[in-house]
Order: sequence, then structure tokens, then C-alpha cells
Amino acid sequence: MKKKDNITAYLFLMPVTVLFLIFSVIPIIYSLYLSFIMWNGFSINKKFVGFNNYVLLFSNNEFYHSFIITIVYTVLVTTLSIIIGMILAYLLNKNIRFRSLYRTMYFIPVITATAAAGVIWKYMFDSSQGIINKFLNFIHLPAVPWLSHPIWVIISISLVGVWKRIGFNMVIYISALQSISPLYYEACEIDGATKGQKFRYITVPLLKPTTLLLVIMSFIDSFQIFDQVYVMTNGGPMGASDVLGLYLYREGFKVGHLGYGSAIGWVIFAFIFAATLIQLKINRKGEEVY
Amino acid sequence: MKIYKKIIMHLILALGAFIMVLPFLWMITTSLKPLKLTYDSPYIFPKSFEFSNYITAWKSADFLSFYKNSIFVSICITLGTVVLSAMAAYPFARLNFTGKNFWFYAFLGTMMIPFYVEVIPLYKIIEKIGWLDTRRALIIPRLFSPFGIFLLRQYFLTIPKELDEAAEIDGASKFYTFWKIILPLSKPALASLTIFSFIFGWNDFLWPLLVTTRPEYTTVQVGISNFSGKYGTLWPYLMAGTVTSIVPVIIIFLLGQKQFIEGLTVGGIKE
Repeated sequence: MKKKDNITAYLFLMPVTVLFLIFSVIPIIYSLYLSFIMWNGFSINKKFVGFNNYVLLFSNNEFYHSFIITIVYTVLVTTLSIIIGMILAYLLNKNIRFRSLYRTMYFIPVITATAAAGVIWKYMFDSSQGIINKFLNFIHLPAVPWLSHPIWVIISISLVGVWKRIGFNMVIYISALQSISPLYYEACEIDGATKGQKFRYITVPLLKPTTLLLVIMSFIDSFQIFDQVYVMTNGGPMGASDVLGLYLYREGFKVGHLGYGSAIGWVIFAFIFAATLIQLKINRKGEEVY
Repeated sequence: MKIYKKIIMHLILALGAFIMVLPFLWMITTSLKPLKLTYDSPYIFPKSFEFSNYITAWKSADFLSFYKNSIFVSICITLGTVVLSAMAAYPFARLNFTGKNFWFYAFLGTMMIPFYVEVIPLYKIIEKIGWLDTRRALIIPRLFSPFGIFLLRQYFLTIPKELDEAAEIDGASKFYTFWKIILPLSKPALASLTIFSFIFGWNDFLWPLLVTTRPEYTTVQVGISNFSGKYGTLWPYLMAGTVTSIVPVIIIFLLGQKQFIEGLTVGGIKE
């Protein structure tokens, strides 16, 4: 057994541990406590209400509405950004001209602030001034109410989400592709496989662990959407884009339902956690089949 | 590859890339349009160069002060995160101590907890200690980065142990090996984390939105969002403001693209 360096180790860890306890652990415990009380944040009167906040939450139509549109957004963004990201990675992993220029162009939205991106896209989607509708008009198509129609608004914010994620998925897929041994492809070529078959039967299955990772990451991230929607629609029109993050923001910070707001936070956590476990489980089942 | 296939591939890639950067192109073009031309038919590449839009935008909202705040806050977050994460990563990579696994998994575990769980109590804590509308509130709660600790630990593990052992035989202290051997050899990972933290700090939105209300503590992202609410249809000014809010991050990214992407793939894939 090697000797221990407890004192040195804890000296190194101390600053981070203090921050961790004050700004992560205490808020997490406090949040759990808050979710069991009724409190407006100011009065001394805090009432313990047990699971009442959660019961209220699950009997509130506004909550179900937010929950459903957040899921629709998450599924759309995850699926589209992963498919497009994988195809791009496949194309840009080849030795082609302008490769790094393409990669940079596809990646730039990833580092753009979501708030700033929201402002730009609000302008892109503007029904009369936006370039998209002006283009549709130019090719004699009817204008689309991107941000003013309850269904289109979900599609619009999802498009922004996809636009922001493609580059990230692409980069991760490229690095995964680089670790696939060329031997697999050579073996296939001997058997006379076409390009499409190679992509379908070698690339996609070998990228499966990466896909799983990206699905989980994208799911966790997208489910917590806030900035773009806050800037682009603030939940409108008529609450049609009122995602869970906005709902929590309003209940917790504008209305002052601290307990109820915290309960929303925990439901978001529980859902993300459950979704992650299910995705891991489905993946394991898939492996047994092979 | 056959030549026509190559052309088709380039067409698809170029069209896609064009769509990706179109919002930026249009933002720049609009930001340089004279206000009276806003309602004219659109064009994608700038024709007129009304740089005074930038001055107008900066004057009508206090962008100078937003900028100062964002730069100060982002730099502090970056320095703090890199230094503290490196200090925490070192014992996890190199030292043998009681509770090593416990702390490691406790730190990583908080990555699973969404910010929404913590945000209300965190706000209450900041309010209670009187930090609302201060720069401290924007910086200190953001310095604990499980991602940073994990990224650096992974990198430290790739440095051959023989190097520290040799130094220890020569009588070097743990602190000396950390400072003089591990850190200088970890420059690429430290560079990645530097870029990540700066971009994170610069782009942060919800937290600054909550803890700052006075304009003198507003950061660029919240500033641009408020500006958009106020001058929502004066597109040239709004776009001029948005350009200035994006430029620093684009510059940092283009300078450190290689480190940034490497950091991303290490953090994302290798476990």
C-alpha cells in the first residue's frame, strides 16, 4: 500500500471544495427543502406542505403544456442535429478541398451566445422584415408566420437549436470516425460493398457509442432551453413557446412561488435523469441483439 | 472519386455552410445599412457602410459599460476556473488520499444536476449575503467547474509518472512537481479550458439576468437582450449591437480553434 498524502491533497482541493459546498451542495439541499414548503420569498411565514407543490404541478395544465413543448423541442433538435452532424462528419472526414473552412463555418454557431443568436434569428424570422420570408416572397411562396403561429414557433425555435448543435455533433463524430480502423472498410471493399452499404453497415454501427453519448448530451442540454426563447418570443404567442425553463423563471422569480419553482426544477432533473437511464438501457438491449 | 460526384458534394457542403453563416452575414450587412433603407429589398453582402450605426447603438445603450463588465467577469471566471480546476485535478490524477473516489464522484455527480434545481436557492443565498448587483455574484458561484476538473485530470493522467517520481527522488515537494512539471506539460489542456471558460463566461445569460438589475452591472448578453426589447425594430442599430456582442468570442475561438476542438473531444469522448 502506497503512503497517503492526505494533507497535501486536501490543501489542493480546499478552494474547489468550499465553492462546491456553498454554491452546489447547499443550494441542492435547500432546493429540495423549498420544494416541500409554500413560501413567497419575503414573509416569515413558511408553511410545510409536503408533496403539495408537486401535486399542484401535476394538476396544472400550464405545466403539461410547457412539458410537452419542451419535449417536442428536445426530440426535434436531438434527432435532426445528430443526423445532420453525422452526415457532415462523414463528408468532412474525407480528404477534400476547403475541409477546414467548411468545418469552421459549421462550427461557428456553437460558440455564439444563445442570447445573441436569439436576437439575430428573431430578425431572420421577422414576418415582414425577415430575410426568410423575403426569400419566400421572392420565389412566390406564401409568407410563413414563423414566430407568431403556435405550431410554427416550435419549429422555428427548434431550427435555431439545430443550427446551434450541428457543429458540436459534427466535431465529436469526426474524432470518432478517425478512430475507426480502415481495415473494416478494406475488408468490405473486398466483399464488393458499395459506399452506401459501407456507411450503413460499418460507419453507423461503429459510431453507436458516440451517438448514444451525443443523444444523451443533446437531450440534457436541449431540455434546459431558456435563452433563445426568452429573447425571441418570451414564451409567445399566447404561451405557445412557454418552455419549462421560462415557466420556472416566471413562477420562481416573477410570481415569487419559490417552493413551486423549486419543484419544477426537481421535475426537470427527474425527467432528464430518467431519460438518460432509459437511453442507456435501450442501448444495452440493442447490443444483446447483435 | 468521379468529378461530378465531387462537384455535387461540394455544392451540398457549400450550400449548408452558407446557410450556417447566413445569419452572421445578414447581421453584418444590416448593421451597416442606413436606417432609412431598412425596409428596402434585402441583400446579403454589404453595399453601404454606415459605421455610424455602431456609434448610435453604443450611445443609446451603455455598451461601453456592458463590455467592461463582460470582459472583467469573463477574465475573472477564466482565471479562477483554470487555477482552481488545475489545483483540484492534480490530487485526483496523482495523489493517494482518503475519500478520493468520494469527492471525485461527488464533483462529477453535480454535472448531472441541472442549473434549474439550484437556481432559486442560489439566488436566495446571493441575496442573503448582499451580493445582488455586484460583479462578485457573477463570478464566484461560477468558478466550480466539474468539467474543468475532469478535463485537466484526464490530461494529467497522460503525463508519464516517471517524471514526477524522478523529481521526488531529487527531493521536490508535491507543490513543486505540480507547478514545475505537471502544469508546464499541460499547456494544451490549460489552453482548452481557458478558451472554454472565457466563452462560457462571455455567453452566460440566465444567471447575470437574475442577479444584476442595475445597468452598471449588466453584461453584454443581458444588455443586448434588453436592447432588443427596447429598440426591437431599429434593426440596423440592434444588429450593430449584436455584432459587437459576438466579435470577442469569435476572435478567441479562431485564435484557439485547435485547442478548443481538442478539449471538446477529450471531454466528450475519452472516459
